[in-house]
Amino acid sequence: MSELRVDARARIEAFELDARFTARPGVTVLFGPTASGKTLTLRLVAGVERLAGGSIRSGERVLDDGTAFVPPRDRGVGWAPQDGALWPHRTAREHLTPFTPDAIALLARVGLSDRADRKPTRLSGGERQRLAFARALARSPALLLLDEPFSALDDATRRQMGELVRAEAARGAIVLFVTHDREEATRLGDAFVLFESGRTREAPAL
Amino acid sequence: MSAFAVSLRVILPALALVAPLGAALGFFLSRARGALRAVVDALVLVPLVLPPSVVGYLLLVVLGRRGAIGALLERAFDVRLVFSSAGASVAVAAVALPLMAKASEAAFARVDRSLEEAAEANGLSASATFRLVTLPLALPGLGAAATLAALRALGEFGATLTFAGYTRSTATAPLEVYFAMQQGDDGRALGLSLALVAVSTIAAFVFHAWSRR
Repeated sequence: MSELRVDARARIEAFELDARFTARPGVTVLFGPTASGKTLTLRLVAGVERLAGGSIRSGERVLDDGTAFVPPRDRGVGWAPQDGALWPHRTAREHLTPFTPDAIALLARVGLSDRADRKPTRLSGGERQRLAFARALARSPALLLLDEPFSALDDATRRQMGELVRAEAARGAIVLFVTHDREEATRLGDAFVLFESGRTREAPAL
Repeated sequence: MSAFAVSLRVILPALALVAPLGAALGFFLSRARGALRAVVDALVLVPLVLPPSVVGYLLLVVLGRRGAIGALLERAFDVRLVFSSAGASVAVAAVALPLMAKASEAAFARVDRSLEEAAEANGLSASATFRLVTLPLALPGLGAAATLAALRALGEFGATLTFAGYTRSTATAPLEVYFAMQQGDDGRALGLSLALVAVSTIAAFVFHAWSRR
């Protein structure tokens, strides 16, 4: 994929979003305080929320412009939502088997080999995050949407997972990475979009 | 045949129809928006609040021997619903279906939308999302709905009597209670009543177990 162009206006109750930026292969960090529109932006790119105005384009393809709308499943996206949205009735392995024949290898990459048969309620917060991350990686998507994916991890694990994110960028994926951890942002980011009260500003560095 | 055996013969085919059809209606009601949903919702609700005798009478008008469809069934297939166990099943199904549909709607509405979004946005098809996420999560609620529908079917009296009549093959337990009482057979009426109370209580516990899952 060449680039993702976001020119998104949306409204959820009193909150108004006006997000404009272009993301290229590599890691684009969406940085800013809570409730500044980062999560909503990812939801719009994933296609689980509709635009009120503007457009989202992936290369020449219009994903959403108010008339054309590509449904989430056809966007080639991997999405790790903020709360994980793990399936309570399925084991860790069963979170990945619908997407990849090699669930066990993927679990190993995120350090969950010995948790394959556990359901989410029997995973720690950090393990749940890594499972949601693995599910987003499973189809090697062109567009990877990660919403504070490692906030519950210790520093060492967080760095290991960060290297997996860098590996996705290296194979050419466009990664949108939401965080409000400055250290993590500078370590992983190739480009930065600063969010403030629903407005955005692109920056080469933090 | 004992009254409960007749009841089973009437209820089981009815439930085999009502459970999947009602669940499908419930899924539609939980997801659809707009005018079509409003129409379907009204059509489902009306039989739920009509007196069962009216449901039975309307069935008779349509499916009776002189009804538009009833006459056709008899001419083409030699099928007569009135005074038959199949007719009693139809009456029971008509009364139980709305309950199954509304309770299934609630079961599907309780499924956390974000869990389906996580499936779709990561690339699962609509049918895979339904099969792997929506249906398994709604299943306890659907079990509760089916239990409720079965209870309503077991207790059905008015529509069955009005449409299918009181014969050997339509004499379900509730009908038998009424006619035993009419004939002064209080022992039989009381025995059947207590048996119905017992079965219903057990089913209520089953419903409770499903609802808590």
